[in-house]
Amino acid sequence: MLNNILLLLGITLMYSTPLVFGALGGVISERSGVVNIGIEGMMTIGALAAVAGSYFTGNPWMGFIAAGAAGGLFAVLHALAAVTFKADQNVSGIALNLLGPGIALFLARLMWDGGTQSPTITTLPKLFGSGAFQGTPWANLNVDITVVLGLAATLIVWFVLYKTKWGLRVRAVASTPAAADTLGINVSRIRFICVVLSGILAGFGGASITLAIISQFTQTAVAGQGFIALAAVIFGKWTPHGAYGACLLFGMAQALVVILGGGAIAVPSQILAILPYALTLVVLVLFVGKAVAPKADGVPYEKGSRG
Amino acid sequence: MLAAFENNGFNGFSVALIAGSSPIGCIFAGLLFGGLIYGGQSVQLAVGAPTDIINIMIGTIVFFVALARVVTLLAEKLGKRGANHA
Repeated sequence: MLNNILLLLGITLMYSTPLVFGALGGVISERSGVVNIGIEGMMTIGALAAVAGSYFTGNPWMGFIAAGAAGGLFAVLHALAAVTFKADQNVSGIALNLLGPGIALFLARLMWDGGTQSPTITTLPKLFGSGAFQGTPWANLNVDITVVLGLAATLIVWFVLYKTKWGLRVRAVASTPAAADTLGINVSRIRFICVVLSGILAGFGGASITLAIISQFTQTAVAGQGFIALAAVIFGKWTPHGAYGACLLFGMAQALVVILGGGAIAVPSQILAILPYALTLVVLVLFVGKAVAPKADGVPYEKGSRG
Repeated sequence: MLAAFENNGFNGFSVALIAGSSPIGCIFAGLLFGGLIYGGQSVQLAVGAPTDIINIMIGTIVFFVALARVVTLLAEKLGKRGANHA
């Protein structure tokens, strides 16, 4: 029994981590007033950059950094379109979701001789080193180091948004950009920085899939997790801590799939495959209540307009 | 079976965007996408380019559709500047 509970906990943390990074990216972008549905594309780019970094340097940490850098660079596209040129943020996000997997698969084919699947790479270390608590149920809690990084990132984003002057400005820019502008805050610059930060975080999210969970890049590495992360942003009411909780819940749904699939109780695999998505729907419909987005979320700010 | 439906919903999204939300425009945007996707499958045989290049092309098209408003903004700005000089 203890073993099963710890196993559930371990797998939940493992599967929720990419969602946590993706959702934090969503939170920081939408908290500055830019809708970012391109998280999925940014995560795919990050997932590939992580594998490429680890493959060519042999050091998974280089891969992790490369993922952040690649995600951030890719997000510059969205920032340029949505902030600088005041384009439709949803359309730009969709473009990113199309471009991301396209570029990632294209580069993967170039790097690994026409195949979209990379060789297995060196992954990030476990929290207590490999083989700690071997043979005891507690070994299930020897989670990937990305789990801790995800928690740390959540705390940092929370601290920055709610306890620093800059965070206050970010939130002001999302709710009343005109007022913030009057007080001398550069709305465009803050939004630009936040979108790039969201790309960096989403890139880390992609990295925590390929560098910790599956240890290679495949065509289906990300497979919709960016969209689940977006659902977590809304479920968490646009707060970092709320989004973290939401990601844990969605991670647990995936963990249940793994554990129930283990064969203790006979459940058809098709039913199991729907579980995370069905749970997402049920939770969003029944328990979320009214989710209120930041007031000027998704509205490009024209200098001089009364926002 | 799953692969047969892959991304069709999302591509429909893009078609509507390119068509500028006009039903008639959807016919032509749909034809464009059909051509691109069908061509994507044979581009590998014909010129040896990876099929994924089609996704990059479609993504680029949609990205510039998002930027379409910039052209009118620029035109307005340039028009204003011209008026000031006159």
